[in-house]
Amino acid sequence: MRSGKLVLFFVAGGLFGTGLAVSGMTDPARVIGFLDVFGEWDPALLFVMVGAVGVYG
Amino acid sequence: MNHYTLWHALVGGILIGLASLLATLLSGKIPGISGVFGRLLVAATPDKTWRAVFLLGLIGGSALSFTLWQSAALFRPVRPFVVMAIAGLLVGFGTRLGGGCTSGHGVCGVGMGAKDSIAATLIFMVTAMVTVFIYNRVAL
Repeated sequence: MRSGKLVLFFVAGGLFGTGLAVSGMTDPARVIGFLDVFGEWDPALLFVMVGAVGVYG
Repeated sequence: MNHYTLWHALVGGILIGLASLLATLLSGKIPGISGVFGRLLVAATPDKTWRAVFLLGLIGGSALSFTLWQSAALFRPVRPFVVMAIAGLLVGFGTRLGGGCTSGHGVCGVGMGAKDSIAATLIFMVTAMVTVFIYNRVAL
């Protein structure tokens, strides 16, 4: 594979990791907060999905 | 940028969507993280290089964000490590059995409007909600 293409794969991974971290999805408590619908529900994961699906779709 | 808001969630999601789009265009495959990583562990996989580079970028991007933004560095385990290890095994097994995870089915598949991905995402989200309900409020 061309090295230029691999650099782009690294950039794509970097964007993904940045997105995960900025969105707070590297924090287990925030993910569980979304899943805990009968507790203090945290809608953050829904916002992440809306942003990601909106761009990808 | 240190105080977390739902804007962080939305902007982070947009970045994840862009990253997934770019990785799809580059690889010609659906770049779900569980699949990208899982196939890296299979000896017969021919295209290991881009998978490894993509995942290295993912870890690098997260690490850089953790140093730049306080809110990104927040990590609250909330479960004992042995529970997280068991959960990780179940997630690995389930994502291979179901052919995708939150990124492959949830972002890419749902984004493309694939019916099986929409079904898979609804099923694993509801299953996870029931699991959290039982863990937090019933059993343990």
